[in-house]
Amino acid sequence: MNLSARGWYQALSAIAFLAVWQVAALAADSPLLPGPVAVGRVMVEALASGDLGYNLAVTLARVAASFVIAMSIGTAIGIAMGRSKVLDRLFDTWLIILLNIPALVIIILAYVWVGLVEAAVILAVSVNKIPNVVVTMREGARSLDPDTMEMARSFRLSPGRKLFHVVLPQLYPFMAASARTGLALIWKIVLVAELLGRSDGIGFQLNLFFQLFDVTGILAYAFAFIIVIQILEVGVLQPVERRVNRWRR
Amino acid sequence: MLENVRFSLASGEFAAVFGPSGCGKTTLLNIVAGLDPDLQGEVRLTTADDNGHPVIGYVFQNPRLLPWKTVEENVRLVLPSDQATGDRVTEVLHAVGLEEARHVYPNRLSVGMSRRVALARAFVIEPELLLMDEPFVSIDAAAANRLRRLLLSMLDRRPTTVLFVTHDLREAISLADRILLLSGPPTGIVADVAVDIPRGERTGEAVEGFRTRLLDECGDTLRAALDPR
Repeated sequence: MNLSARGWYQALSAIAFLAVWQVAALAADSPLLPGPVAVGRVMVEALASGDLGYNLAVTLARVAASFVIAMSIGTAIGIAMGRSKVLDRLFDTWLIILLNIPALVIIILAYVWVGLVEAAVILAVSVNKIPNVVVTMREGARSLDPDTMEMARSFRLSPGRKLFHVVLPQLYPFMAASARTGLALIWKIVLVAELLGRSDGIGFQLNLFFQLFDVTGILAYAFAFIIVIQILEVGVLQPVERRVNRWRR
Repeated sequence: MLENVRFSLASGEFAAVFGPSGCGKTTLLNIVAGLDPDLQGEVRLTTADDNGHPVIGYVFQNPRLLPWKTVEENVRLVLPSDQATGDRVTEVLHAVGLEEARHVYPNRLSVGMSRRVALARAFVIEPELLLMDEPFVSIDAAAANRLRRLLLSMLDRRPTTVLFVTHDLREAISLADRILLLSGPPTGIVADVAVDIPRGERTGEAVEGFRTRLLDECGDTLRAALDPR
């Protein structure tokens, strides 16, 4: 299937989704299930008043900070554990514990220990995501091609050059996988953290709408955010991936 | 795997290491390259001016190019720093006849071309010692011959000590100054033969004659190990 055909299918699929939703809303005829038209109207109003833009920006900043921190720390730990058997054995149990702590527990503990501040949100979300990045990157580091590593050693490449030109390019597919799941996971956790202890951001707004039973507002904010994340995926992640993979046939 | 392997190479000497498949020839090269962590023994490498580790170029059995780098980037990568080395990369790519393909990714190259890139990569660092592990296998005879001539012409231009592993006795005779015959197990050097045919006279006949004499001189068991055909 070529690219434009896929684009048409995606557009068709989105329209079908909106149509089903609109029909369901008309059938239910209740303020608890507003249709896409009503939600769209609220979205435009919130955008015009500046509320939506502001809260989106605040949440996106938190997502971006946590994403960068989680990816860099997780990648470093993952490579170390993938390349060193000793480190892997020493910290494997820690990893399993961290992987299994519910996000909510980490968020609550971060607020209790650090306080209701910005740093607590970033810390909690990063700590939630780091173990996932570690697991993926460890897998990647374990599968590094021994032949090219030997080549790098016999030609005495400097550590920096080895990392950036030999090791990391082999890990790009793993980084892409963990970036993609990371973005999806992180923004959801950020919303929970905002709901619990912040006075701005999408999560805070959703909490407000929840107390008012304003389903239209909830859906408007949620969909605005989904659209932004999709734009990031198509506009940033995919082009980066294409550039990195241009050598493949 | 290897036991009591002891030899030394003079500067500028071309030594072929010949032995049956699987006798540890690659292991020997890896030991010299410092890639074998389990080595019990010693490799002493000295440079002409005796300051530190000599520059080693390694041509592996598989070219081991980085698929995410173009031909030129693969060659440039092994140069110590990014200082004005553009000319040297161009020069060496020209020497192996790959100037046109410099921006091509390795998965677009034929096996023979990949082997030439590997050769260029080993030569670009101006090595004092060149390790070559059956660098011309799995290409057709004509292409292999062209690559052998290319290697000799590059060595002419810049004399280098070479340790060349092969399981093809004719190739060893046509290229080397000296042949180390390996056999085992456990693998050791069973003979150290100087190839006394002048370089210009190594025709197919001369090589064939030398090979017959060499096999005649070796005992029966050795002959069977060295040349199963």
